Amino acid sequence: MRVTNNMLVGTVLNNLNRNLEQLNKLQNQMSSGKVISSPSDNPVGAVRVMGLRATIKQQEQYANNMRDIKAWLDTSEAAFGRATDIFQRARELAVYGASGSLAPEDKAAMAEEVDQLINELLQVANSNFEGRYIFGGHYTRETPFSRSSKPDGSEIVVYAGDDGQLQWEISPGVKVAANVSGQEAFGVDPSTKESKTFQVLIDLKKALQDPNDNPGDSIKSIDEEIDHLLSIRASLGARSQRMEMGLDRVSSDNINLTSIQSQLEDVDIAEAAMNYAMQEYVYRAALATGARTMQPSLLDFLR
Amino acid sequence: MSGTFLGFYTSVKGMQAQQKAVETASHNVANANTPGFSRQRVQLVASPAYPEPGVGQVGTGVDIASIARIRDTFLDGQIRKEITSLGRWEVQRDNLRQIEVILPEPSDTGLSQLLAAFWDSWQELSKRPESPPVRTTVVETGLALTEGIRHAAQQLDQLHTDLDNIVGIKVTEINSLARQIADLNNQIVKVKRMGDEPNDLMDRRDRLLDDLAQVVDFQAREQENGAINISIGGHPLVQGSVTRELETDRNGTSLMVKWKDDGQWAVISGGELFGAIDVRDRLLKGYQDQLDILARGLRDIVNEQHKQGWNLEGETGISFFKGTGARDIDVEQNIRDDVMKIAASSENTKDTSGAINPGNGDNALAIAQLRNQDLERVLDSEGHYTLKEVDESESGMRLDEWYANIISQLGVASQEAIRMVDNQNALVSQLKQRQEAISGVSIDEEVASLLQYQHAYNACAKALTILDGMLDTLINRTGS
Repeated sequence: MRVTNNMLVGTVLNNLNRNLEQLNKLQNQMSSGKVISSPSDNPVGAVRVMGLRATIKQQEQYANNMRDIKAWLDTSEAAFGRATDIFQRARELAVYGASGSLAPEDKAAMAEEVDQLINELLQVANSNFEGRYIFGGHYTRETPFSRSSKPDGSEIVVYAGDDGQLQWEISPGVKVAANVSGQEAFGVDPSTKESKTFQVLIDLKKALQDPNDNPGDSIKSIDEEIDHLLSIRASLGARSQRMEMGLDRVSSDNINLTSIQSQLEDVDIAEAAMNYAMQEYVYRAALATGARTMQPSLLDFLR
Repeated sequence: MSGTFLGFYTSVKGMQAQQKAVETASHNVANANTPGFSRQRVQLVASPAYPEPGVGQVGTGVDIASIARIRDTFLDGQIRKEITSLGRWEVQRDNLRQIEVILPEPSDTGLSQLLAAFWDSWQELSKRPESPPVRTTVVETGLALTEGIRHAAQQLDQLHTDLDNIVGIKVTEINSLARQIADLNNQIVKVKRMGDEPNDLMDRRDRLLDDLAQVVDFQAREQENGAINISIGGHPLVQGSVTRELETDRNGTSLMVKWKDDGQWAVISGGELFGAIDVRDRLLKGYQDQLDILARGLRDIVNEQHKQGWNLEGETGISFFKGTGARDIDVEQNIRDDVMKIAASSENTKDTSGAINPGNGDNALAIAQLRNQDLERVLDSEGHYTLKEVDESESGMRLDEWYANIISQLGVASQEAIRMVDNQNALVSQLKQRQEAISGVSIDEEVASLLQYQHAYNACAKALTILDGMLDTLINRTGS
């Protein structure tokens, strides 16, 4: 083939250009840290990375939800722990009050303590978490339980909430209730809105005040309440445990997903650096040969 | 018998011929770096001999048959064909890159992330439906998402306008090239009529044809008289020294190309002009339409669920999004004005006593769950495509999958364009190497020729001197 000067120059320039392009591409990858910076770099990979990003983000949201549910459950659990303590004390008082040898003043003092226990339980039932009443069902902004009296003067505690559940999502389509409604926890009759749980304490207080009543009659219903509270606590504990496991699962899932994403889109720095060094060497070689081939012509050897 | 002075004549012709050859070689050297120049050669032929009875044919020296350029016109055609394809793919590659910038994926700033943030905000709202800050977050992520969609749509529209401009510019370029070619045709025909080879004019015309090939696909046919006729899609553009120009005209929303004289739409199927039209009307249009469908789908599925819920003012049946497509989708004004209007609850939030139960976030969760809902494409009441939830038994794609689908199409198209440009570049440069091998000027070769012709010239002059000496002997030294 005939080789002309222009061809030599053109070939050298073409090769230099191609080398520079490669260098530029590698440099870009190394400085951005990404192999895929636009869909055309790898259409399949780009779409997979998008999917992985979305999944990871969604999983993080579910992890957030589980943490929030767990916080609610743990707060409720603590409240029921205090409620159990209150009933244990009430039981002691009932047992003590049932023995016939007490002076009326002592019984009055005990009735007074039961009244305090009612207030304390009220405080527990009106617990709030992050500005929301946890036992109000969907009525999270209204104090759920308050002391009141019936038209005939008898004391009651009424409920202002509903049995609404706060259902939050922990994985696609799976919902878990973060709360126990006051209605369920404190035995509220949906029609009268009166709390059976509080009624037990009110009855005990009445029995201590009324010499004709036997406070020992309350022991059975107090025991029932304690059992009820314990079973709720057990179910809360189980749910909280489930959230714990869910969180572990999400975090290990996300580690896997992130590593797949990284494999797809991140630059292997060692490999990139090596490729870069190699490409640079090739570029230098091209420059050197270019400088040599472009010089001589026949003219250099004529007088 | 030959004349006494025939030898002079032979030598002079020889000197003249060598001189022409030297001139041509120096012309070649001078144009060694001129783009599109093809080297020229003086075609020497021996002059007609005359017969000398009993002796044979006596030569009479050399004649210049022609000064021809050395060029492979078949290769020209091949190169133009590949340049046309290169031009088309270059335009496609550049514009698809631009679309990739408009839809920056995969990244932390693209629409897919905005969409994910939007769904997440509904998740948060499902947990704290009574909280005004969380409600505000929902509106804000909704605004960010709609703004992102609108911005992308606007930029795609801008690209459409830019491509219209490119079409206009390319048509002007074609007309200008056509006029120059017609002009050269005219000159070439005149020179040829006088029996000469207009080498440099032909080089210039070939260069213009190469330029034209980059812009548009055409058929060229060389005529007997040396003119080249050009037609595009069967319709003549240049006939001898006459051009028939193209112009642009709006066809629907796009700028199209038509013939000025008969008003017919031009059939363009290659080159930069075709690349621009193809990107605009096929690829870009496709992405715009799909973004529209995506926006309408988002609007419809969110609104449908939102309307089923109740807001904190005891209202139901309220829309969340408004707009007709990607260009104007937005969050409803009354929701932007009052975040309490977001329908997060699945039951009436005001009971008979007028008390408010704000803790129900079930509808917010139902909206958040739309993220995982399979959707299919359907026609809406206005005859536009939108997305709708599929029935249990059917399969569809989630909203983010519809979007990923656009990105994947874009990625494949862009990758193809990049690959085609690389291929065409390699092909064109290989063909150009071959053309250069045939037509290019080699300095070594020309310098060697110069020396060769110089020596021949010297030899002719020497022959003249010898003849002169012989005649001197004959005329001055004999017979005295």
